[in-house]
Order: sequence, then C-alpha cells, then structure tokens
Amino acid sequence: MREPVARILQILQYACVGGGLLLVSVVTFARLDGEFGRQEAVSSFMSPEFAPDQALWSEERVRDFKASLALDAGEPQAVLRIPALGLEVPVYATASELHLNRGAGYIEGMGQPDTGGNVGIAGHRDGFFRVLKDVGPGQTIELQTRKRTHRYRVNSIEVVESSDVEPLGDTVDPTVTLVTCFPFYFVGNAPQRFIVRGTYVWG
Amino acid sequence: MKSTLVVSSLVLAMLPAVAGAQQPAICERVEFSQDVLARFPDIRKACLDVISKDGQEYAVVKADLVRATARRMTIRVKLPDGTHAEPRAINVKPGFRLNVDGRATPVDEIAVGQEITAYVNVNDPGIALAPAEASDPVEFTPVPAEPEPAPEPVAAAPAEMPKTATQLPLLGAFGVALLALGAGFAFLRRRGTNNN
Repeated sequence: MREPVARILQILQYACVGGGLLLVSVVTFARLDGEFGRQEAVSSFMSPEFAPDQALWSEERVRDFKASLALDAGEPQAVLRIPALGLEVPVYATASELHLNRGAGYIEGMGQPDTGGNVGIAGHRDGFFRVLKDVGPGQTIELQTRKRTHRYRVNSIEVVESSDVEPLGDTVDPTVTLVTCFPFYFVGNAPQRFIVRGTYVWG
Repeated sequence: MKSTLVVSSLVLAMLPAVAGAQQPAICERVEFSQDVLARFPDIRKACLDVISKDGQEYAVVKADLVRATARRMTIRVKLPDGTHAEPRAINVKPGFRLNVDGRATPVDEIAVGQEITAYVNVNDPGIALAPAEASDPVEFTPVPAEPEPAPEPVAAAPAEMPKTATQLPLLGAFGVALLALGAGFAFLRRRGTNNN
C-alpha cells in the first residue's frame, strides 16, 4: 500500500475511533449520571432534612418552608413508584430535558397530586419509563409527596398519536397519567405516546 | 351547646368503625327537608350522627377530598357500601382549620385523598367542613337545586404531548458505528501493510 493512502487510512481510523469513543463515553456518562442522580434524589427526598423538627416553628414559617420546597425546581417534588415493576424515580417540577434525564417530570398545565385533577407525569421511554412496557391493569402506582402518599390503580393502557392531547384533559376525580414515547425500541423521535392511566385508590 | 359538640366529637372518633355498620338510630329518626333529600338522596345512608349547633341540626358525614384549590374544596361523601356520592364543592376561608388525626390542621395543608368530616344542614340544603374546634364557626356553602357544574380545572390543559425521547440512543448507535468504522480502517491498513 502506498504511503499516502496508508496515512489517510490511519487518520480516518483515529478520527473514527476517537469520535466513537467520545460519543459512547457521553452516552455512558449520561446514563450513569441519570442513575446516580435518581438514587441521590430519591434518598434526599426521603431524608429527614426535608422534614426538620418544626415543633417550635410558627404556622406561617412552616407554610413558607413548604412553599419554598415546592418552588425549588432543582429538588424532586415527589417520588413515583410502581412496585410490580421495580420502578422508583424522583418526580421533578417540569418535563424538561434536564429533569427527564434525572427522573420523571410533572407535565405543566395539568393537576398536582395534592390538589387533585389529572396528574400528568412524563418520562423517557429509553430511560426510567422503559419498564412501563410491562405494566398491567390493576397494578399499583404510588406517588409520595411531602404531604401524603397517593395510591392509584392502573385501569387503562393505550397508545395514541403524539398530537392527541385528550388523555391530558382534566378529570373531576384524582387520576394519574403516565406518558412516554412509543415504540419503546426506536431510534430517533418516536411518533406515538404510550399512556398509562391510574384511578385513585381511596384510603 | 358546647357539651353537645364535645359528646359528638367523641362519637366522631369512633365513626370509621361505625361507617360500615348499622345506621345510628338518630339518623333514622331525623327529619330531613324535601330540599335536602332532593340534593342529597343518600344522606340518610351516609349520616353517622346528628348534632345541634346554634339552634340548627346537622347530619355528620365522612367524605374524601377530591380537589383542593385556594378557597374551594370538592368532596365526595362516603356511603356505607364503600362508594361515594356526587362531588360537592365547599367554600373555605383562609386560615380555616380541620381536625385531622386529632390535630388542628390548616386547610392549605390538607391534600387530596384526606378523609374529612362534613356537616349537612338537616333543613336547608347546605354543606360545611367540620371545624377543628367546637368554638370555630361553621361556614355553610349552599347546594343549588340543579346539578353542580364540573369543578373548575386545576390548570389549563397542555396543548401538546411532552417530548419523551432523547437523542442518547441515536448518539450511542452513532458512536458504535464510528468505532466499527475505525476498526474497519485499521483492518484495511494492516492488510495493506502485510501485502507490502
């Protein structure tokens, strides 16, 4: 082989291997960061730091403290669990890319678990919500907020087009709607949404 | 009057155990007005006690909170068979406190799913949340004759589905493809070297 051709092949080889390693490293780092972030967020949500001894606090101070926690978009607002699937993931204030890399996120414009309505929670189908492919009717969905643990029972599972927002509509009784992309194994922007709807389980 | 409420509080503490059992005799005897029966058809079944306050008689019921906005709460009265009556909205004033597990709890700390105690006026169709203290005022919300409109949405519905796909799998696949390409170039280079 002539020297210039060998040289070009060498450059291409190094460029491809370098670029490939870089991309694989980025993906691996993002995955690890997401998993460690999930574990850290869940344990920080459960830690007593979020529930300091407020015996001597005034009612107003307790209220302000709770409000400040709710406003801190950097901290999880709740923990979502589906015990049958082994899912335990922090839920953040929005469904932004940043939050969905660290857990699940409330869909803006929908209800909240403590105040009622249809609570929308989004997650990546190639991340924490991939286990939803095995979800079944009757399974329990738990949503632990700082006020109480809400329980829902899966009562419908459907696939809709990404333009169909009907599942995000308000409801009189409290419900939870989990949203992720469909198909679960798809490279690029999946064209549909996988919807899991749960109705409230009264205590 | 206060003693009536104290006795009623003791009775209320035992209500969960009573809820699925036989109706208290006082609930069988009490005369609900036709207007009240029209708006609360299951009130006699849901009634757990009857108390008197300020010259009025009130049926005591248990309910689950289904929605809580700043000044309005929507509840569903619990029936003995475990089902719920139609949702009813109740106006609440800021600072109002409820008795939750024996503790006076501000209304803005109550979350959906909380079991609460409510009063239904025996004569005039109205419903109120039971206050934490007997001395606290009871604020009734009139119940209209026609069915209540759906409660106001907790928020404006989103106009589009959230984006729940990442480019990570694509990047990963790209990275693996580049590594394979790099291995291919290495193979070609080695074969060329060996041929020489």
